[in-house]
Amino acid sequence: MAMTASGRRPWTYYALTLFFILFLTFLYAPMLVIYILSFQGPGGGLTFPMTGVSTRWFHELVERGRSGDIAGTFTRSLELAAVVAVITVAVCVSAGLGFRRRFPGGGVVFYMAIASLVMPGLFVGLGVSLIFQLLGWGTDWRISGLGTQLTWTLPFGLLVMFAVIGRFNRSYEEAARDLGASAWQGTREVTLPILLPGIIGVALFGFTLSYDEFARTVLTAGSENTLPLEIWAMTTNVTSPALYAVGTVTTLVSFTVIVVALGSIALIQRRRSRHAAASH
Amino acid sequence: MAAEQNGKIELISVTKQYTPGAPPAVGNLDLRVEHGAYCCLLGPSGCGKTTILRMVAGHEEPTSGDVLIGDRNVTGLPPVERGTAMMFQSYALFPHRSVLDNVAFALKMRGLGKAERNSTARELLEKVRLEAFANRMPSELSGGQQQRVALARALITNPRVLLLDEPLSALDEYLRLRMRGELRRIQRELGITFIHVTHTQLEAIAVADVVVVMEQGRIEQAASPRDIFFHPRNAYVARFIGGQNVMSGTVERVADGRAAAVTSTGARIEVPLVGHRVATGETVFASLRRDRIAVRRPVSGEPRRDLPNSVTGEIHAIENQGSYVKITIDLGDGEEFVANVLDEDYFIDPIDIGEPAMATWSAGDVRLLEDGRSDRGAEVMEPSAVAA
Repeated sequence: MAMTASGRRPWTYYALTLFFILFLTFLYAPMLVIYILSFQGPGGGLTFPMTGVSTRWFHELVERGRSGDIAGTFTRSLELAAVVAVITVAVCVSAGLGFRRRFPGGGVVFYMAIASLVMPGLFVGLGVSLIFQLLGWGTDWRISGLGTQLTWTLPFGLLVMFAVIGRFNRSYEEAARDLGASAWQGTREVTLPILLPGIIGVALFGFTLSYDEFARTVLTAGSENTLPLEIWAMTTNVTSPALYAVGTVTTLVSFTVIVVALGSIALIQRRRSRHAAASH
Repeated sequence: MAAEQNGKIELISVTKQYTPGAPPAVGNLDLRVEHGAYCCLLGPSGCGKTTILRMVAGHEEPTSGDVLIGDRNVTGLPPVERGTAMMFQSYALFPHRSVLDNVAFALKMRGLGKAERNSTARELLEKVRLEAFANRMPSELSGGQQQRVALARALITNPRVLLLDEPLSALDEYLRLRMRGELRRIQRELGITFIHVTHTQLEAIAVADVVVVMEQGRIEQAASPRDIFFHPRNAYVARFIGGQNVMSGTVERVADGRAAAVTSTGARIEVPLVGHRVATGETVFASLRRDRIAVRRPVSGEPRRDLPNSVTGEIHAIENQGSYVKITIDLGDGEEFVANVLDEDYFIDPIDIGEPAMATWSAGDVRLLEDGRSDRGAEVMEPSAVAA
C-alpha cells in the first residue's frame, strides 16, 4: 500500500516500523522481565543473572505459608471480580438502555456518573473506610471492598455501554414492536442479543478492573487481602522469585479471561455471518 | 368487506410537533387513502412524509388530530393492534437470526409453535423466491435479497396496510427498477393498501395510484400520477415533479376563456382559464409541458413580439437522453426553460450550445397554476375536466 511507483517502500515505512517496535517494547518489556525471572534457577535471586531454569517458584506458591496465602487471596480476587462483573453488567446495561431516549436532566446524570472516574482512588477508599468506622462497621472485602471497586467499574462500564448503545440502530426495536413484540420480548429477543458483544465487553472491563484494583481496595478490604494487596505485601517481605511467579500466573489468568471474552464475541459475529456453512 | 380487512386510511387534522415552538413536522394535515390503493408520499427530506408514515404505523403519535384505519380510530394504539406492518428503510433485519427466524418472528411473538410458524414463514419466502436462503443469516444476503426478506417478514401478519419507508433507496439502479415493479405486482396480488415514502419523483409516478406531494409538513397536491405530472396544482409541484416549465406573467386581457399575459422578458403567453377568474393586471403562474415544445432556429426578423406562445433565447445546455434531447434555453429571466425534443426532430438540424433558438408551443399545453391567484383554494379543480 505504502509503496512508491517503483515498487520500493519509502524510508518512512522502515522508520515507523522501528518506532512501532520500540513502542511495543516499551509496553511489554517490564512484564517480560518478570516472566523471565519467574523461571529463575533453584538457587537464584530476585535479580539477573539467571542461575538456571526451573519451575520451583511456582511450586512454592501452592505450598501454603511459605510465601503468604497466595491460593486463598487468588480465589478471593476471582470471586470478587466475578461479582463486580455481574453487578457492573446489570447496572450498566440497564442504565445504557435507559439512556437510549433523551430525558430531562439526562446530561447531568451522565456527566455526574462519568466525572467520578477522575476521583483519586486512594481517597475514595479512605472515605469509605472513614464512613464505615463512623458507623461502627468493620471493613470487609465482600462489602466495603466490593462497594469501593464498584465506584470505579460502574462509570467505566457506563462509558463503554454508551459507545455500544450509540451504534445501536433503534429501528431494530421498532421492527420488533411492529411485529408484535412486547417491550420485554423486544428487549429479550432483539435488543439484548444484538448488544451481546458489547455487554461481554462491559463484563470483561468489570472483571479485569476489579481483579487488578489496588488503590481503592487497600483501605477497604479489611483483614483478608485480595491478590494485588497480597502481592504488594510480598514485595516487602518475600525475597524469592516466587513473587515473580505470582506475576506470571496472574497475567495468565487475565490473558485467559480476555481470550475467552474476545473469543466469544468473535464466535457471535461468526455465527451471524457464517451460520449457513454449518446448516447446509 | 370485514372491518378489520379494510385498509382505508384517514388522517384528520393531524399535527406533529417534535419541539414546542418550532415549526411542526406535520401541520394540520388531512389525507384519505382508499382501501387497496398504492399511495406514494413524495417530497424532499424533512417534508414530514416519514413522520406521517410513522404516525400511521404507531411508532409516533400525533400531537393533535386523529388517525383512522378502516374507519376505526387507532390514535394511541400500539402498532400490533393497527393491522399495519412496516418495512424499514434499513430493513432492520435482526442480524442474530436466520432468514427463516426473521420472517417467523411475528408468529413467535404471537405464541405459535415452531413447526407452524416455520411452515408459514417458508410459504412467504417462496412468495418472494427466497426459499433456498431460509437458513442463511441476513448479512449473507445481497441488498435486494434482504429487502425481499423484510417484505416477507412484514407480510406474515396479513396486514391490511403495508408501510414502506424509502424501500428502494438502498438498492442500485438496476435492482431499484426491478423491485419497484415487484412491489407493485405484490400490492395488486394482495389487494392491500400500500403507503410508500420516497423522495424520487419517477419512483412515485411509476408505482402509485395516488401521489401525495409534500412540502414543509403540508400536502401540496394529492392526485393520480397522471394528474400530478400533467396538471400540477402549483409552481412547487410543477418544479418538484419536473417535466414542466413554470412561467409567470402579467395579465393583459382576458378573452375566449384564455388570459393573455406578458412575462418579464416580454414574451406573450396564453393561459387557458378553465373556469377560473383572473383580472387584468394580475400576475398569473402557469406550467408548460416540456415534451410539447418545438425548438428551431429563429428566422430573420424574429423574435416577433406579436407571436404568442413562443420564447427566444440562447441555448444553454444540450443533454442527450436517448429517446429525446433535453434542451435548456437561457431566456435571461433566471428561470430555467427546458424543452424535451424527440431525438429524430432534434438531429435533423441540431442547434448547438451558445446559438440562438426559438421555442414554440400550443396554448392547450399550458396550465394555470394556483400561485398568486386570489381565488386559490376556493374551488376544487377537477383534473379530468381540465384534461377534456
